[in-house]
Parts: sequence; structure tokens; C-alpha cells
Amino acid sequence: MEVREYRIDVGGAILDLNTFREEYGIRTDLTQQVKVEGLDGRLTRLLKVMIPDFNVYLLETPHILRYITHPHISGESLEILLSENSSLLRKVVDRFTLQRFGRIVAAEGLIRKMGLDVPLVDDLRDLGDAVAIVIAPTEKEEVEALESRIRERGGRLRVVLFMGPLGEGDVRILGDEANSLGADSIFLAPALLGSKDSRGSLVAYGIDVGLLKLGKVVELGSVVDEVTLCRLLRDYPPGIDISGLRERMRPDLNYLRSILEDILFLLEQPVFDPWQIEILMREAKNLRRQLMKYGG
Amino acid sequence: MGLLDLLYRLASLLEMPLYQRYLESKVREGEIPKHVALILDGNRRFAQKLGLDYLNAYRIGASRTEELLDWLLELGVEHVTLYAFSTENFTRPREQVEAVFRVIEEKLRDLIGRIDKLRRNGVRFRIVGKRELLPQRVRELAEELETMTRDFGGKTLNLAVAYGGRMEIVDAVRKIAEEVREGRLRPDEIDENVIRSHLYAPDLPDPDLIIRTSGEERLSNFLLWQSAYSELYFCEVYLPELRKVDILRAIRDYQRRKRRFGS
Repeated sequence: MEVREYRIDVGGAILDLNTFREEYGIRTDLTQQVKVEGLDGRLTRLLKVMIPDFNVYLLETPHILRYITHPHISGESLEILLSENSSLLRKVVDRFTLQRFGRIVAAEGLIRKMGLDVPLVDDLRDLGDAVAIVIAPTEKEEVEALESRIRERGGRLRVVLFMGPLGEGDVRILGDEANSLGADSIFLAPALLGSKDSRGSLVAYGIDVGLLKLGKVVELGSVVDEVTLCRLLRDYPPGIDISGLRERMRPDLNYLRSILEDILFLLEQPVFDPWQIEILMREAKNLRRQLMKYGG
Repeated sequence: MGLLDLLYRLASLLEMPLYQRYLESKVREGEIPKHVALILDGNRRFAQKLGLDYLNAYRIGASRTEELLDWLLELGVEHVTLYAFSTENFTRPREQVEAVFRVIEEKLRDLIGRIDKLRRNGVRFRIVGKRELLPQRVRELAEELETMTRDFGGKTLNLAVAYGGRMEIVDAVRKIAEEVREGRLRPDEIDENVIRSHLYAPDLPDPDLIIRTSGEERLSNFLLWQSAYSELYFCEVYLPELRKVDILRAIRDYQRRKRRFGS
């Protein structure tokens, strides 16, 4: 493949994209855009991740980029963001034509916050063949439990659609688990797939903050489309965990405090360049404001 | 390395921020560039950002440059060339030019006062540029330091002041033309080696890595002949804000490029 030279403007600073990608191990060579009716293919895009054995897709919309780059968006403001994004999400889920595999059911009510009107597993009897939607991040035990809940209701788990922030490692663990239960899996992640090296944190790029606090340096990248990466860089606070909906949906003061604490910790380390420090400081300000709003 | 040096190194390792320590250990695993040249840029913008006067900003930049030299020597870099003042910079307002030379003079005095440091590190100092353009006091001090360090060892600290890459080539061509006119050289004998031997510092190896601070992405007339195959690295921070991690990142990037394009 041809090595292309890139210089991109990240809010005043000019970045050499090749150097930057290499610095953090960001993979931009694994995505391929998929045409979806209703998505304009420019600002709203579905991308297939070209990794063997698993069906992994990335959905990029302006709302999703805001979700990733602004961890302070939580509670009510997150609900607004999700509702604005819901029609695009529906189009993508429709694109998978899951109903051909069986009845679509969701594992938990959070799905409705995302604008998908799907019945819950526990509300139905006689499921028959079923497609289950699970909000990621999730553990493989949850997939197992879901399968037995469906089985108890006379159904059979055919396909699991995992939606939400995911890492390469999660894809393998969850995909293998679904497979061992006789089900196929589809993964739909917001804009990027976390690095296989990520342990706790799921980041677009940066240093694993949790490990850094324990005295270990691990630089993390992600699998992301090049255009998405360029759009993210101006606003994404490097190293900050892209948390799942569950943590961010309710105005969880602990969540906001922990992200703020991570940012303040990173700001103490001589790690990032001025333009990145500016982003971190901006987000710290947003988090403080959000905390004050919720009385924290 | 003596016991004291070893203890000092151990202590500084423990004090070092974690990420810096990590980067340094990675960099030490790879090939260290022999010659690193730096375009020292961003003092004035730093001054404007913090509302400092230029003189103080230059002083902070000079202190940072001294630290930078320590970092590079510690890593095993053998030749360091610092682009401190170009021939074009003489067109700046007089008080700015005076401020630069005042700081250079202070630093030269400082180096002479602490000559043991250069001796211990085996570093020879020299000026690269049109020394006749330098203020007399600066020139005298620079030449005194050149003389003092002449036999210090194989490493060099080259200060490019009153320097311009094009002018260096012009000067070389003039000297060659004179030699041809005087019959000491035939035109068909002129090749790259002849030109190189007429540059300001003919024995200095080409820079492996050129680093420019402050986010500007130009060579600005620096080592035009010598940089033909150099790797270039531009870092965003202004000189007075330069950190060791920035230098370590530059070297890590250099090592990656060498691996990618090597052999």
C-alpha cells in the first residue's frame, strides 16, 4: 500500500498524520465504507472493519463523534443526543435485516433510549428464533445468561447484535462466546474499535490512564477510519475512556468525577502536546460545569 | 562511569516522570542518531504568549537549550548543531538582535566558566557561520571557547550563528573558484567532496535528524547542503517550553523511519 504523507490542522497545530498514527498504533487501513440508504455517506457513514471471522461495523455520525469526544455529555444531554441520532441508528439496524433470522428482542430497556423500539426478552413468551440486541460493553457471562433467558422462553438465540463502545479484544471474546452458544454475532461500535491492547480503558488514542496510575505505560490506539480520525482529533481528550451508555445515561456523579480525575492526572504528566492539553483542559471545564449542574 | 555518576543517573531515573522514563528506555533500545541539528524557534512567540520581554524569553530559551544539550549527550548523540541566529535575522529590529547576542554572550561566558563540563563530556565547541558578522565581544568569546575545547574529544557542539545555508554554499563556490583561478584545482576535479571540503565545518557529518521547535515546518536556510538525506521532525512546542519527551519522541520517530526505509 502506498504510504501517504498527511499534514492536518488540529486547531492551530499541524500534525503529521503518519507519525501520529505510528506513535499510538492507530490502524486506519482496516475500514471499508458500506452504502446504507438514508446515510449520506459523508457525515453519516457505516464502515465495515475488515477483520477475519467477525462482522464488525463502525457507525459514524456527528452525534456519535460528540459522544466520543465529549465525555461530559451524560444524563439528560445524552438522552437528547441519542434521540437526535436514533433515526440514523434505526436505518443502520434495518440494513442488517435482522428480522429474517427471527424475532428481535433486547436484553434491557436502555435500548429505548437509543430510539429503537424493541421488546425486551423478559417481556415475551415463546420467542422462537431470536435476534438479541445487547448494549455493549458487556461480559461474556451476560451473553450466556441472555441465551438461557431466551431458551427459558422457548426461544433459540440465533444472532446477537452488540451495540456500543467495544475493543478488538471484546469482539473476540464476545464473538467466540456467542458462537459457542450456537449464535452468530454482529458488532456495531460508535465510530471506532478500541485497540486489542486496551485492558480497562477504551480510547481513540492516548495512554491507558488506569495503568499509568499503577506505574505502567501503555500507549493505545484504535481501529478507525482515517476520515473519522481526522474529525475526532480536534476534540477528543486523549487517553480518556469512551464509556458505555449505562455509565453515562444517568447523571452519575461518580462517572463524571472519575473522568475529571483522569484528565487532571493526565495534565500532570509530561505526555501530551499543547493542542492536546488544550482539549483536555476544555473538557475538564465541561466536566466541572456538568458536575455543578448535578450538584456535585 | 564513576560511582558518583552512576548514583546520579540512578537518582535522576527515579525522579523522571514515568512516561519520559518509558520513552527513554524505548529510545535507548534503538539506533541513536549521531548528529542532531536543531532549529531553535519560538522564543518570541513564547514571549508574546506570556507577556515577557524578548530578552527574558531568549534567556529561558537558552537555559532550555543547555538542558537539551545534556539530554542529547546523555543519549549518546555525538554532534549537536544549534541554529541560533541566521544571516537573515540581522534584519530584525536592532533591540531584538542585541537581545539575542546579549544572551549568546552570557551563555558563552557561562560555558567558559564551566569548561569542565565540556571537558568531562569530551565536547568540542565551534561556531558555524560568518563570524565576521558577529559582534566583536561575541566573536572573541566564541573563539576563546573554540580554542579552549579544541582537544576535548570527538563530540562537537556547533553553534550556527550569522549562518545561512545558501551563503555557506556561495562562500564555498567562491573559494573553489579562486582555487581554480590560481590553478590549484581543475574544473573537472570539482565534485561533492570538493564542495563539502569548502563548507564552514567540512569535517562535520551530515545531520541524521533535524528538529525544529514551534510548529513551523521549514528549513529556513539551515544546512541546505548537509540536510539532503536528513530526517526532519517538527514539534509544536516553542523552544522555552521544550521537554525531554519532545526530544525523545523525535528520536523515536527517527528510529521508526530508519526501520521502515532501512536497507
